[in-house]
Amino acid sequence: MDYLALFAAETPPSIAEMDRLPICGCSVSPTVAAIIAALFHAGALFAIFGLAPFAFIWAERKISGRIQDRLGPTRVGGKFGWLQSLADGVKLIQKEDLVPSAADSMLFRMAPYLVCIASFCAFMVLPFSDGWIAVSSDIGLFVLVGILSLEVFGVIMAGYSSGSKWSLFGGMREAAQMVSYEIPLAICALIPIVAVGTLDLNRIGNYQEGWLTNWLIFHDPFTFIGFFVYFTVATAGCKRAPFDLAEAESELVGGFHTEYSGMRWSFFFMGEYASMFLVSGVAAVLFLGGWNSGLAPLESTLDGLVASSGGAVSWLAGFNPLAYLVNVVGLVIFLTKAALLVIVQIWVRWTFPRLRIDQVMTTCLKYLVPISCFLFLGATVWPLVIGNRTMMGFGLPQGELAPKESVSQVEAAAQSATETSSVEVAGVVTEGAAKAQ
Amino acid sequence: MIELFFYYFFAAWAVVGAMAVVINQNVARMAFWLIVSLGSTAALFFLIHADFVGATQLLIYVGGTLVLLIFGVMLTTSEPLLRIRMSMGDLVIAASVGFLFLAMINFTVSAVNWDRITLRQIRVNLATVEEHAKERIEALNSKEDKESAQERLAEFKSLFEESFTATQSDPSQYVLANNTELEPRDEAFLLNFMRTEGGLTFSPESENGGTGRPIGLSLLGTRPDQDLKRTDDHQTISPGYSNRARRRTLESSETTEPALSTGYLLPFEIASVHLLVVLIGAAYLARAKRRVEN
Repeated sequence: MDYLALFAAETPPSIAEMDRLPICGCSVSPTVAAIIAALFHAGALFAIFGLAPFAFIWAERKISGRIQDRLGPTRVGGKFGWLQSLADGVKLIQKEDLVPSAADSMLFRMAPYLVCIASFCAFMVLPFSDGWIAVSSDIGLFVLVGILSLEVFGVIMAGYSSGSKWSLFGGMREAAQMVSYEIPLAICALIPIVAVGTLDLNRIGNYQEGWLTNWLIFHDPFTFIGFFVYFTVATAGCKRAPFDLAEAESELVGGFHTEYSGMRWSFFFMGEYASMFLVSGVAAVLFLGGWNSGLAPLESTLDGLVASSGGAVSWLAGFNPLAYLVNVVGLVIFLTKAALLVIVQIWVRWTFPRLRIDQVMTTCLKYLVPISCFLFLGATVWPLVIGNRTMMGFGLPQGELAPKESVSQVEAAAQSATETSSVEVAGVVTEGAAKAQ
Repeated sequence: MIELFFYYFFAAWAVVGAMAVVINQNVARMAFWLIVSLGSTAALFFLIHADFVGATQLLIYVGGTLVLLIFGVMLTTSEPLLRIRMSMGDLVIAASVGFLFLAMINFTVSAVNWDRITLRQIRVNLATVEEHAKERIEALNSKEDKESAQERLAEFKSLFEESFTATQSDPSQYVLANNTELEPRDEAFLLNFMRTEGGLTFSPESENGGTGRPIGLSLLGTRPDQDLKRTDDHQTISPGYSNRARRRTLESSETTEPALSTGYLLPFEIASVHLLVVLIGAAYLARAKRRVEN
């Protein structure tokens, strides 16, 4: 422990002397810069976490209206009722914060936060554009699956602590469903991993640069089917229809959130819509090319722009306007893909009837788990049988990692250091490839 | 600084959660506090960049075992079990087992020579470090700042050359030179300098989950940080285990050292057995009550 203290004692002078970074005209020590960066990341993530439900709840109401031959919200905010979610939010905030007398009040109050925190934390390891990731980790996908497995607790807590049999049954069903669907979810997420050879979501995204055929969904038949299985499983994992047994109104009233109202109730919904967006984003990164447009000329133009953009501006450390804009383009592409997937989820919800609970479990344990296992097996065998080729005959071959390494905006200052390490990584990979051949 | 704050924050929550698990009598609340405790422990792992261990902790203990516990105990039993009342004898037995377990962990932790683990082998591009440092010196404004920064660079270079030698197989990989004992302060200085200048590409505490592998492998019983290349470049200081054992082997001059370092496999396995006991106990409690009702 004294070692840690020594370390802390050692740090300040070096910072004071040498490492001051320019931020908006004033020079700032790295600690402060790190805090600013962390706040910025957290703020940006929170904006996404808050705005995604805002947009998708409106979309859900609008789309469901149209599907049922209604208009949906039309008034709030002028055209299309696009401020409907805000109006909903204002209404929910005003409601009384009720706790039933039979409830375990501490757990009852905590449960919505647990759900929200779990799905918010998962956004930390999701890349939104090349290098735009709050916490970069070389096992990002694994961390993400680990965090996602926490969400079930909020549901169990809510169901148990409400002191109502509807809630208890709803919570139990929901927990059983979420825990079971986690297994095929994890296996399906592994299928593209086999093709790429890394768990780093940022590198998986970069791997799919170039033409559409580089997207992992087109890598081999197994990833192709794997995408649809993943999407089904993810829909069920978000407790969305047709798998929304927890809130089967006809039998369970409102499921685990029967007793909730006001803000706490809306937290569950924020969590639900945020995790819909999350799993769609993960699907976009894993299968659909992430922030890459799928058009090679466009990609190479953007890369050329970044290459010719010169260094960072003088008034903000590590900020390169042109590279930043290119990343914004990537962000827009990524958000579009994820939003489209969410809209498909909404579309599915208002199209299919709800399954029975035993059918839900059968679908998972008897069909989806074996299917995903088979697909995983196939994905591992594919390169051994077919060799170093993809499904279409062109595109990136097996195991070749992205030519463009992950360099985030924040890390751009330390770019040369990263380059040396990436050269090493590339060396190791080519060595491995040579051995394999 | 900020790491230290978060360390204390999460450590405090881990302890508070664990205490609350013991003190609470309501099974559901215990489960909640267990989530807090285990989650904070996972956060501590993330804090030392051991992403893999942290994520595994979340996935297996929180997402797996705890769900199993809740299913097994909370939801399959009827009302009476929600509050647990213990007799004095139970309390004594549980406390003694708990303290024995604590003692074991304590011995394990204190047996490791923590100072030695950090800087045995590093991979660093010295040219990059120097280049960066020079760039930064150029960018400095005042003359005094420049001079003191120059001094630091010179000090770093001399200290590094004194204490590290490059391995033959890989010129960018360095090991501690023979018979060098770095002062903790110097060690911190070296490591810190290389970190701020960004030339360090591998060390046991390198960024982005680099510790995940050494720690994970140590839990599985091997110590890559000690066993790799240990014959050619330096003598092994015995496996993570006690200084006393090492002294004894030195005295007897017969090398009774194990061929490979043993890591933390035994404590890890004991902890897992402990967990198994908890699970069995939980299942027993759940079943026993039901029988009484019948």
